Order: sequence, then C-alpha cells, then structure tokens
Amino acid sequence: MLQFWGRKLMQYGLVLLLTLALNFSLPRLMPGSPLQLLAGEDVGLLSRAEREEIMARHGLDQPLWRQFTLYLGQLAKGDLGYSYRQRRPVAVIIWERLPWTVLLTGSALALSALAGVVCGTLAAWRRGRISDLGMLSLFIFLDSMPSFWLGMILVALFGSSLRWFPVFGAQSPFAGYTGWAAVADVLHHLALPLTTLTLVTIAGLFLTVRYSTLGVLGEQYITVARAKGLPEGRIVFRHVLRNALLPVITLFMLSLGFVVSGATVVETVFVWPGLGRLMFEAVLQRDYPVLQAAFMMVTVCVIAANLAADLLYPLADPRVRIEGRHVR
Amino acid sequence: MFSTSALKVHNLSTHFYTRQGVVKAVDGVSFTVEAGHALGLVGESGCGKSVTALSISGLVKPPGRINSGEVWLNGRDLLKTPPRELRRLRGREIALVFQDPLASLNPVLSVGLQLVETVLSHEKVSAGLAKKMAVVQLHRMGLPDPDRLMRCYPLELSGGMCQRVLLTMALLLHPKVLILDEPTTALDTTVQAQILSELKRLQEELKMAVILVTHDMGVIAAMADSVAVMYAGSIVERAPVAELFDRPAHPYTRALLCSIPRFGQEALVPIKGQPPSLLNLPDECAFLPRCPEAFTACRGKRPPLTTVGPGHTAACHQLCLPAMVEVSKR
Repeated sequence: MLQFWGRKLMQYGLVLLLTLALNFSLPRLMPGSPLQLLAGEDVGLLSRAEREEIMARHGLDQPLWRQFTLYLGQLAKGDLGYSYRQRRPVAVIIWERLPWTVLLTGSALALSALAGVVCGTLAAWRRGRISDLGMLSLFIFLDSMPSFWLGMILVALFGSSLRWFPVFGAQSPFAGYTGWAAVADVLHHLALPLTTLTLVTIAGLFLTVRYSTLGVLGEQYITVARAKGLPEGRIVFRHVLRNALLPVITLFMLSLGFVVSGATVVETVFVWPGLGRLMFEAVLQRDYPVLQAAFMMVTVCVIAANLAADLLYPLADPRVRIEGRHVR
Repeated sequence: MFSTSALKVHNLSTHFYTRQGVVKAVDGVSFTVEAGHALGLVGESGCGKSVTALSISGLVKPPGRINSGEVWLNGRDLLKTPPRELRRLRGREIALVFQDPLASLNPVLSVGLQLVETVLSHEKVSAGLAKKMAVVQLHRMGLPDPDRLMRCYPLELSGGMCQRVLLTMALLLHPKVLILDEPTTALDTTVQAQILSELKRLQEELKMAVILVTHDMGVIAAMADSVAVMYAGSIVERAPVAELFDRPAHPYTRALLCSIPRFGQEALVPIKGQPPSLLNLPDECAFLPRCPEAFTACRGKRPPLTTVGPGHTAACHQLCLPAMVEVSKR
C-alpha cells in the first residue's frame, strides 16, 4: 500500500514539474517582448533605465535554465509575481479572491453532488416510472441551458422583479455589518449565484449516478442479496450505492480540482469577487502575470485533486487495492 | 392442499410482457419435492428452468410477472404472501444459489460481511455469534482457513471457492428448500464433482428439499432422485431418475439423452432445429416441429400429461393413442 502511494506521488511529482515548466515557458513563447508581458501596454512610457531595471529584477538577463530555477525558487516562497496593472503582488490579489471562489463553487459542488446522488439513485430505483422520466427530462433541460442565461433569468426574476435577492457582489457595499449580520448578508448575496451554479452542474452528476446505479441493479449479486432476504434499505445502501458511487468519487474529485478556478461565467454575471472573474478581468486588461499565476493555481489544484482521487480510490474499492498488491 | 411434501408448485405461470408480445416463459408448471429429496429440472437454455426457480422465491423482475399458480411451503402459499413476509422466508426457508459464482458475490464487500449480514437480517443474534456461525459453516463446506477467508474479497478466491462460499451462505440458516440454478456449470469438472458430493451429503444431513436446475444430465444422475424435463415453458416428462434414464417416454427426453456423450457411443445425435420462440406459441405440442416421431394426430391440440408407470408421467400424443402408434409403425 505504501509502495503504491509512493509510486503515485512520484508520478504526480513529475506531472507537476512538467506543468510548471510549461507555465514557465508560456510567456516566453508568446510574441512580443517579455517586458510587454510584465508591464502591459505601459511599456512604451518606461525609460531605458527603468526597462533594464525591470529586466534585471526578474532575472530576464540570465540564461534560461537559471531563469527556471529562479522561478521555482520564487514559487516555493509563495511569490507569484507582480501585477503592474494593479500595482500589487499577484499572490495578494489571488489570496483575496480565493475564499470567495471556494465558498461559491465548493458549496455548489457539495449541493449538486448531494442532490445528484439522491435523485440519481431514486431515478434508477424507479426506472421508467413517472418520477424517473420527470427528473431525467428536467436535468437534461437544465444541462442544455447556458449558465449565463439561467443566471440572467434568475437575476431578472428574483433580483429585479421580486427583489428577494441582491443581484450583484458578495456583500452589501458600505453596510459595515459585523458578526452574524455579515454572515447573513453574504448568504443572501450567495443565493442566486449558488442556485445557478448548482443547477447547471447537477445534471452531470445525476446522469452518472443514475447510469451507474442502473448498471449495478442489473448485477447478479443484487439478485443474490434479494434472495438472501436482506431488507430493501440494506440492499440499496450497502450493496447498490457502495458500488454505484465508485465512478462518482472520481467525477467528484475531478470537479473538486476546478473549484479553485471558479466559474468564470457565473461569477461574471453576478459580479462575484472570485478567481473566475479575476481571470476574466485579467484577460480584458492583458494582465499577464495575474493570468499566468491563475493558470498555475488551476493546474496545480487539478493535479492535486487527481492525486487525491488516485490515493483515496483503493480505500473505496478493494479490487484496486488487491490488484495494486499483486502488480507492485 | 396440505401435504407432507416440503414444496408443492401447482400450475405456475410466469409471463414476460415485452414490446414484441407476451413471452410465456413458464406456462402451467406443477411439481412437488419431498424433504430430503432432490428434483432435477432439465431442458435446453431458454426452456423456463431458471424462471421457474426465480418464480418460486418471488424474485421475478419486470417485465416478468407471475400470472397464476400456487407455491406451497409449510402450509402457506408463497405467491399470496405479502412481500415483507416473503423477504423473511427468503434466505431462511428458501435459499438460492446461481450459476456464475464470481458474479454472485458483491466485489467490494468482504466474504465475511456478506455471510454475516445474511444471518443478521434474519436472526436476532450478536455480530460475534453470526461470525462464529459463518466460520463453522465455512469449515463444514470444506473450505480451509475460514478465519482468513472471512477477511478476503471475492476477487481473491477461485470460482470453486466462491461457489462454496455461496453454498455456505445458502445453508447458514438451514433452509427447508434449496434451489440450485446451474450450480456447477461455471466450474471445472473435478471441482464440480467435489461440490456435488458435498451437496449430496449436506442435503441428507439437513433433510433439505433440493431443486436442481441444470442442462447437464451427468449432474442429474449424480444428484437427483427424480427428474422433470422442461420444454418451452412446460414440463413434458416427470420420472424417478433411474426410470427416466432407462425408459424415457417422451421423444424430447429420448433426444436429450442421445445428445450427451457416453463411452462406447459412436456419434452424438444432436437434436435438430432450435427451441421455439416463446412468443405466440401455437396451441399444440411445442416439440412438434423438431420431433422425429411426430405423426398426423399430433397437430392441433396439446398432449395431456399421461401416466406411463409408477411416478412416471409424460405429455405426448403417442402415449394417449397406443393403438394408433402401432398402426403408424406398421
């Protein structure tokens, strides 16, 4: 088991190094001078001395391999570069946005996973009945709806017309709430973007759970469990779900990797101060250091989630565990 | 309806309602099995043997439905028993073992857990005692090192071991009726022989009524006391096992016996043609299109079951009209 984990860690370490190398070379492969990438379009306003000072500060006068080790060293210290647009370190900018994104996408993922598993199992259990067909059409309908459109509908209906929920931001500006009032204020702002994001992500989980549950229900060991006289509840929870949720674990862990990247579209519609919107703004403003750091965050998180899925999967499925033991 | 027999099936019909039409998988099947006896249910694939086995324990899945019939166990009709009570009988009074042993065990649960949960869902005993019962029964089934086996996952066992685990599971609560659906088809011949002899011993020890579903006449000869031959959803011949092998009365049984390999036999005689589709069966002898001995009087009506000897019945027009057969032979 330890050997298995050790081998996985090595594999993912290599993948991580590769992505970092790619991320390092991305701005260097782009057309234009590195100065332009660093300082944006203001580069024409800089004096020659200023240009050389910036080049030296970023080690751009050094050989490439030296630049790479410098880059890794900076990353290790948590230095993600400097945004000349915002005139602040990139790490500070990202750190500011991260909690909002995790709050929104994390809770949306948790909600949609819960609802997807419950509805998917129920639908499979009642295959072909009205409740199954109803849920199936509803979720396929939701899945085919663009998130920005659903978001705008919700804004128009519950924000502008009914005025039940605020339509933008994560907090009421200048309200100065503290304690529970601040929490309630954030939740009030969270409601619409969370609903949108949950509704558009639920379908994939629902369909996966329904499909894999149907597969398990057709297995002979389920008939054997019935033949043994087990109560229905125990058959569902111990025999069906235990098997049907295995592919869902992978799907869930992979989605977890994207929690950090946020939902650019939904965050933009609701002006949510998360990483997704930060990336959108960075694209519009050509703020390359921010973009580069955001890309890196996303890839690292996806790799970490994959690693976690790989390490946890043998705990959930003895078949992987046993094969791992034999193969080595 | 009360009798000394452990299980009495009367006029059982199970039909599948598909888009193409009604498939009469089991159509008016009746038989009884005494305690301590084994009934072999034989026939080609798709003749309704397995559906009969599933119908008895109420495990037929939609679009299948039991249309009519009675299944008497301990003086109660299982088909009129509410599902909740039927569940309590399954596994305790009636146990089932299926064909593919590896597919019958849940791959992500340990062998021990799957044995123990069987006990715990029927008996109010502690988990420790249930575990002890499982270990003892595994040992009786001839499995080495049962304590280690309890912690194993199905993937770690061979097919023969899996089938022994499943038999252990079926016998844990000493059921009165044991239904075996092709129990040894997926196994090697040597393992098959071992398992059959152990089954025979346990059957006598526990005084169980056994229904053995198989297409293998060798298994029938080793295990069964009497045989029911099924064709296209109905029983066409019923006889004690020796009688059936010596004096088969139905042309289908004779054809079936000719198609099994034996020493000293020159060539196998296969049965010509395919079993009929169970959709829209004509109301006449279902074996008619393939029967080498058919004659004109066979057309147009179903042959009734006729007694041909002690405990020996068969459904063939030849048997009803012995005079006519004589005429046609001449």
